[in-house]
Amino acid sequence: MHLFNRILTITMLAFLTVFSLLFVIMPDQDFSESENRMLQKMPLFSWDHLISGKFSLAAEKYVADQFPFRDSWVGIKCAAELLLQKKDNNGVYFGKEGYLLQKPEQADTDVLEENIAAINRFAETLPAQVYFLPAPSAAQILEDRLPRFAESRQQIELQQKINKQLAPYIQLIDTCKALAAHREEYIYYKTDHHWTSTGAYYAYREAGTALGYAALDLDDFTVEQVSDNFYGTLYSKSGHRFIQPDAIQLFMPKRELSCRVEYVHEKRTADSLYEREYLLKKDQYAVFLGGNHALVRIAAQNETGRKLLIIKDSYANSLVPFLANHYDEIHMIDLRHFNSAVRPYIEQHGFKQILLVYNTVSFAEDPSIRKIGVVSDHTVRQ
Amino acid sequence: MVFSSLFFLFVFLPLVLALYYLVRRCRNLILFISSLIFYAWGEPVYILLMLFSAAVNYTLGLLISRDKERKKDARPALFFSIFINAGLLCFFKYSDFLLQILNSVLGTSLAGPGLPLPLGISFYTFQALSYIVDVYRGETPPQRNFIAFGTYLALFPQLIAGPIIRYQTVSKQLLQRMEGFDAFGEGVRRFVAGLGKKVLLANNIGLLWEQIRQVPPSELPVLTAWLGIIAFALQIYFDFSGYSDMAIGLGKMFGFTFPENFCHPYISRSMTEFWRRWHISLGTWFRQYVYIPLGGNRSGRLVLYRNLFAVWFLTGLWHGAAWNFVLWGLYNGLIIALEKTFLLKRLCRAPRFIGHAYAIFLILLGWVLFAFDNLTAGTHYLQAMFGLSGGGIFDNQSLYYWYTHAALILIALLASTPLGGTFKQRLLERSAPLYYTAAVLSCLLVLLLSTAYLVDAAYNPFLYFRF
Repeated sequence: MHLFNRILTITMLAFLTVFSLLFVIMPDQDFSESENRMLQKMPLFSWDHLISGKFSLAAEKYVADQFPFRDSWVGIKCAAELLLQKKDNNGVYFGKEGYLLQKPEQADTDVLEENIAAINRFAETLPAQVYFLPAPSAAQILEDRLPRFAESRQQIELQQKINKQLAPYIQLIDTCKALAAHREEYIYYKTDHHWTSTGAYYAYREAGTALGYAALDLDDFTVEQVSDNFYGTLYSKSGHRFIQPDAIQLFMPKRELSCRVEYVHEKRTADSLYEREYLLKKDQYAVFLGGNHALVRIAAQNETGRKLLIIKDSYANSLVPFLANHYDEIHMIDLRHFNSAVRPYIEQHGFKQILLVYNTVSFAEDPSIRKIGVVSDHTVRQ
Repeated sequence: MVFSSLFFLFVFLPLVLALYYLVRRCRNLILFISSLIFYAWGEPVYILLMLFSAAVNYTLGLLISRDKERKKDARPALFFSIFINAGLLCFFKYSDFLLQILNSVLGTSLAGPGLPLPLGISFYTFQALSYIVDVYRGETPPQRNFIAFGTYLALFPQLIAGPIIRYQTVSKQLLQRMEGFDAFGEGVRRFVAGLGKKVLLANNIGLLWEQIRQVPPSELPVLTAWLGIIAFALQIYFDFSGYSDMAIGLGKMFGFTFPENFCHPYISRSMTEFWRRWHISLGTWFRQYVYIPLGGNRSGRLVLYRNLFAVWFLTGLWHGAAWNFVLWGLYNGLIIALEKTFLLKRLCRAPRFIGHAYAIFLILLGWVLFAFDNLTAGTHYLQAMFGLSGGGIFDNQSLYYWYTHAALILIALLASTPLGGTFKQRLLERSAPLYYTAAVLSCLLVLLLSTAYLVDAAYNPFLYFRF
């Protein structure tokens, strides 16, 4: 009995001491690759922060973020959860066939309705045709990959709401059927919430009729696999550490396309749609047009005399390389970063076609979409 | 600060233990100061409140005992200190609630101070009151050493969530206590058990409840509603009893022996039994300082009912400044009154499972009252439990919740019975070395898993923080 208590005492004290010493000794990390976020650094002491309680909050976060072997602990937790037959964590389903799928949350209907109303108003008086391409989430298309009894009803409801409330003068490009028909192919990443180039290709093919171009066949591309170790956002969010990485493929048209990409706010130009240095970083999806930027202009030598303005979220980034084969000029505006008025920009450049590309979930949540209706730069800045 | 945080486990606790056992002198001072730091951690301003309360009660304790020695009337000092303690509690905990009542009665719109609740004020106020009353009754001499008294009032292991320790149970230990490997090892086991209850069981089951409570009642099928309230019942039990275990374990590490606070409440066969097993230190406090002084059950039926009403009204109110808590207290009181009158005798004669089913059913209904601050929301939830809200019997969602949480719920249910204790006893009798090895390994495993869950924790609330 005595020996036993001695062993227990020593075990526990050793456990606590070893990790607190390691915590002190091991150098702090700035960034967590697997979680894709900045980690809390040692908080600086100040009386003000102490009195307001900010210091203690930061100190607790600091210990949790810089805890020795943080990633391994996350892995242990994940193993325990899997053992207990848990099928989701932190809003991500652990689906079948190695798929992680974003869990549809109860959408904030106010934001959704406001966003629909905003684009309806925007399109009403515009001297251009507006197209809306809602990109469905994996949970909606790959319903059969969800864990048993898990629901994706919310996302279908979201989609129906958009279809119903969208004004008739906006042309809806519904890609759900086209994507669902190819659900056995690799159309969504398993560890990331985006569609793959294959998924984006089917959306592009579907959009051809509406936008008025003859989509290229799959045979017209050579597929180049540029990564086989992509761990995306869902990997970070879910904490699931026992999952295979994704591959990233680029569809290069056989009829060579020469283009110039201008990142306007960054004052930088490139002669490729792909920014390959991102393949060495965490967020490899940014290989497509370098991630999200306020304004990107693509000039391509297609001699079609057509121009397209795309107002979009990140789903468009892998879609645009396909569209680039059919337009002389494509401008991409990301309202989350774009701080000027959209309408004068359209008038100034004389766009006749405007394409909205948003993932249904982010469309229902993103408050920046309301900025689309702003008519003058003055009101934006306010 | 809470025990179930990495900061406490890997920074605060090792430092305090090292200081306590390496200095080996001024132990109460070390405990007192570390308790104040522990207390001040989240809300530093309230350290003044704690010091004020300690100073006032220390002085009044001395005054009361001096008055008694001089055969003077000690009641003014007693009443004054009750007034101060109850006044502080009312001001910080109930002023918003009282103003809200006043506003709805008078039609005024007075704004409350909206102060954040000082940590553990409900607990340490009750400890201070027990001290004052015990001294007044002559059941214990006053504490003349301020540091020792301050240590009693602010002792960090039980500061924010009990158990509520009567002064007389620890008065000797404050000045003389035996630390050592045996007590420490015992403490480690209790602490780790409590940590596991809180971090592995309560937090994870709590996540399920959080999801279910957000479902609109009209879409809530019967099976999901019951799963939800079972999840809440398990969460609140493991949360609170886990915290008590950690407190008792930490106490042992510093040489204290605190009273037990929980004893498998969900195996009860009546509400009366449930309250003998649930939050025992609170029940003891109300019996000692309210029920018995009011005459208990010795002055006839009517007085008994009045006393029960008073005790259960206050018990409810103690749990929170809102009507649902009062209602929950009275609900418990009503059932206990019925049991005292006739039900208990019948339950005793009935088969065991009837008692169990009866008790669990009423306890779960009680938790619905407890869980919703908003009475309308609570009523809607109750309707959903009985299929009166149009959510049907079950849907895919309920099946999903059930099968993904079955293992966790099963483990939690087993852990809430005395089966584990029986198993340990059997093992110990069969082979002591095997038992000890298993005990050390399971302790280590729980510690390891708890650390993993804390490192990756997004959800770590503490339910009794609000009390």
